Amino acid sequence: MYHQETDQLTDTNLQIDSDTSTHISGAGKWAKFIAIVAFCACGLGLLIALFGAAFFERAFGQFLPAAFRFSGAGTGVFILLLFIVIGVMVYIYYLLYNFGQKAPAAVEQGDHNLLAKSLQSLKIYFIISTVLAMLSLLLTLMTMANTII
Amino acid sequence: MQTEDLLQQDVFDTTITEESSNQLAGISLWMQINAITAFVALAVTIVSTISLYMRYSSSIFSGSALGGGVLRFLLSTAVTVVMNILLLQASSNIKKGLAAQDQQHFNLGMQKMAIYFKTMGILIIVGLSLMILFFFLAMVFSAFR
Repeated sequence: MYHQETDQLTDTNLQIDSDTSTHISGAGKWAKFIAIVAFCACGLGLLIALFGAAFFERAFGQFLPAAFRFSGAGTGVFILLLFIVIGVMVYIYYLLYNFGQKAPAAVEQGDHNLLAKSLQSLKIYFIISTVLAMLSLLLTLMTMANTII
Repeated sequence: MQTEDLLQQDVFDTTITEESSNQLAGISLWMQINAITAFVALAVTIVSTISLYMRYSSSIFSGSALGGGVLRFLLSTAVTVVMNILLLQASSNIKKGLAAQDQQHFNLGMQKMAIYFKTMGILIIVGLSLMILFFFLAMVFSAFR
C-alpha cells in the first residue's frame, strides 16, 4: 500500500530524496563559504576606500577625468561610487549567504517555506548577477565599437 | 497503521511544493541566461584579445610576457568554459526534471549546481592561496634585495 502510493507520488511529483538533499546541502555550504569570502573582500574594499584614498589616487588616478581625481572636487563622487559598488556586492552575496544558510536547514527540517525562501534568494542572486554581467558586456561592446570607429 | 501514516507523512513532507518548483524554474532560466551571457562575453574577450595581439604584437607582447599572458588567458578561458558548462548542465537538467517530473534529471541538475558552487569555492581557495604565496614571496625577495 505504502509503496504503491510512493510510486504514484514519484510519477507525478518531484521529491527531495537523500540525493537531492545531499546536493542542496552541499550547494548551500559552498555558497555560504563563497558569500563569506566575498563579504571579507567587500570589507577590505571598504577599508581601502575609507583609509586608502592616496593609494587609489596612485592606482587609478590616471584613468579618471581631472574632475573626479582625489585632488579635485570629485573625491566624494569616487568614494560614493565605490560605496555603491560595494553596497550592491554586499547585497548580492547576502542573497547567496541567505541561500547557503537556509537551504541546508530547510532540507534537514523538511520546512517547505524555508526552502522556497532560500530558493527565492538564489533566484534573485542569479537575476542580479546576470543583469550586471549583461551591463558589463554591453559596456565592453560599446568600448570596442568606440575604438573601431 | 500508525507507522504507515508516519511513512506517508514523511513522503508528503519531502515533496517539492508548487512555490519551490516555481522558484527552481526561475533559477534554471536565469542560470541559462547567465551562462549564455558569459559565453558571449568570452567570445568578445577572445576577439578583442586577438585583435589587440595582432595590433601590438611587436611592441608589448614579446618573450616571457607573451608566454605568461597566453597562459593566463588560456587558464581563465578554460575556467570560464568549465564553470558555464556546469551552469548550463544544471539549468537544462533542472528544467527537464521540472517539465517532465523526472526525478533523475532533477537530481542531476541539483548535483551539477552543487558541483558549480563547489568548483567556485575551490577556485577561490586556490586564488587566495596563490595571493598569499605571492605576497610572502614578494616580502621575502624584497627583504633579501
